[in-house]
Amino acid sequence: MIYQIVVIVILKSIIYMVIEQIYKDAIVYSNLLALASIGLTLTYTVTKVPNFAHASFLTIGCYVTLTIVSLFKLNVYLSIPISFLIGSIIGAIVYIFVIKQLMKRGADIVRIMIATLAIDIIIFGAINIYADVLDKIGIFSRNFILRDFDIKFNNIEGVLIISSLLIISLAIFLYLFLYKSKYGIAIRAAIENPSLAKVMGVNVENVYLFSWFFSAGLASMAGSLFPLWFAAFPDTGVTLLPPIFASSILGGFTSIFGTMIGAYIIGMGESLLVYYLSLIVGYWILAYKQMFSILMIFITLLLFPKGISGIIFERVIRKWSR
Amino acid sequence: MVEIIVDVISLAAIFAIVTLSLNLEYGYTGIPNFGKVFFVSAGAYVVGALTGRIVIWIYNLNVDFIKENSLSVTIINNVLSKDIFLSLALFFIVLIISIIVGAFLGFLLSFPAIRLKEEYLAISLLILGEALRIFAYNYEPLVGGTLGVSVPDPFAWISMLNINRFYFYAILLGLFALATFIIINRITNSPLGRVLRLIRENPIVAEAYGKDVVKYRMKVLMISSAIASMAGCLYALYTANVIATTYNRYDWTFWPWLMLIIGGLGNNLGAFLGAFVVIIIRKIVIMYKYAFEEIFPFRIEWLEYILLGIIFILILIYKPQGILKEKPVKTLDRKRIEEIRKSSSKL
Repeated sequence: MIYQIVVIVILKSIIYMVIEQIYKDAIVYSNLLALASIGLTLTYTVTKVPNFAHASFLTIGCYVTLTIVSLFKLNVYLSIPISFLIGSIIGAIVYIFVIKQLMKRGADIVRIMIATLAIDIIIFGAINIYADVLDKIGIFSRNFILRDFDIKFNNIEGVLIISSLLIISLAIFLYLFLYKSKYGIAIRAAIENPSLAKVMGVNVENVYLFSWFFSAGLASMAGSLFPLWFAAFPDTGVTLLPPIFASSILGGFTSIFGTMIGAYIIGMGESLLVYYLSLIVGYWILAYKQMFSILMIFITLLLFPKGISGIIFERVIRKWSR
Repeated sequence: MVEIIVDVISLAAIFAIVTLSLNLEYGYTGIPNFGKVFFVSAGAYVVGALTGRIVIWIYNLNVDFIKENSLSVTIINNVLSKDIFLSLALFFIVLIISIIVGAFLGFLLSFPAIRLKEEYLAISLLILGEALRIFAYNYEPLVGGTLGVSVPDPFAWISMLNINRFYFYAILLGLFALATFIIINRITNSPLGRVLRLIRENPIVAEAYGKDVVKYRMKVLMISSAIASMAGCLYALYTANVIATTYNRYDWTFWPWLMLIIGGLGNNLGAFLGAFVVIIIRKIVIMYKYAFEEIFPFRIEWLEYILLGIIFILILIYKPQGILKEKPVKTLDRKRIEEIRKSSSKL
């Protein structure tokens, strides 16, 4: 009897959440944030480079979708694999021609970070050129939103379902890949101790290349779904950089699953918490929405620098050691 | 042509000041400050928020500085052009306040800066710059929010004396850049500068020699933030308006880093040179903008972004020491050391 009531309440609240616009916003936003920030964590854990250009890969995805929908008049969801491919190829190019060269010459972390800033500016310039060209041939390419092209399943927008499915399948895939497959074990070995992994026959270079390839692809994939729900600009990446970094840092910056949790906290907080606060203190606070993630970065770095995963894992270890 | 040279000198002087302060931080002490824009914009916002209001307060003018901005600036400029003493006092008050604000922010930020690892420090400073921009963009009473504010010109009396405003500013900013260069050169060629280099190379050794690394880093952050804030203040007065979108991380974090790396890390003359080289490249691109714009179907600024970004990466990979290499620290010359030895042996 009690179980039935509990199940009904949970189901009803889920339905309620899905129907209400603000909850849809929050869910889509956090799904995309999780997709994008996993890549950041992956490159940081594998190559020890915080990639400031990461959010720009997301913008690339936005423009891939725009091209597919407006220029080629194809199905929106075709853009997911295509943007993954384009983004990951650009990520691999960046790794091979910039990051690898710098690492080979023994550049320190600060130089590599500056190089990622330079990559960010190059991608930003290239995207703006592309947007200008699209404008010239009559496609509205700044501040565009493609909600009308989305497919609806039972009155629920496709992007809501697809992004949720993507993130769930990605979590399962990453778990199986990193913990069960041979290549995943090689990746983890390269993270733990690169020189020892090299001795054991792991191609560390290859692992680094893979991490850049895969993470840029993920960010670009998140970007391909972004304009289906939110308005996209050439500076989308600039505005999304704080929340992406916030979710990675909140998750501990080295834990992929921690990052997912962090992304949901940041995404839900930025949309729901600020929304409820605005009901109490007034609508002016909505303009400062981005401050939430910035605040979270500082709170995390100063109070618990190991992030959520640090807290959770420490508890688990303590429990097991008893 | 003269106008272009004057503009290049003014802009390069301001960027040289920022780059020199960055050189003190990263080139000498090894603090990767990726949030230069934060300190620069702090100085600029001091100018935007205070200059007009001080005059309104002193003269009891009945205008709202933010809401009736253009009207109030016209009135204030009228007042200032007649009162040279007040104008000069206003200039120095605003300059000193912005320096103090910059130093205070540097002091505040040195607490996390000392604790955090390089990459976390870089991330948090970068994000902090974004935070200030978002705040200034949305909070209207500070610098007018999305519209920005015009700033009254404390050198409005210059045009009364039939002197071109831009020539005057070029000289003024050049003098400020020179003064900054001399001060930072003094710092880096003193025993303090040698300690800073030691901290950059190996903080543990520095501590073993009894140097308080934390305190030195704090000092450096305070000095360089104050200088950066001064640069922001001067830039705001030069352009005579403040709007939050001007102070973005491309212009005020990326360009100074580019200038520093091109010119040469740990070399003050290099930082100066880098600022001039980058500003001249940008000016050339802007000069030929209209000629190119007929050929290409996009705005040329974006091409400039790509061009400078690629140049930057190439320099990072193939010539990481920049145009001018770091030189060994100057010590006392031989004669002086001999003199000291003689005088001490007499005792």
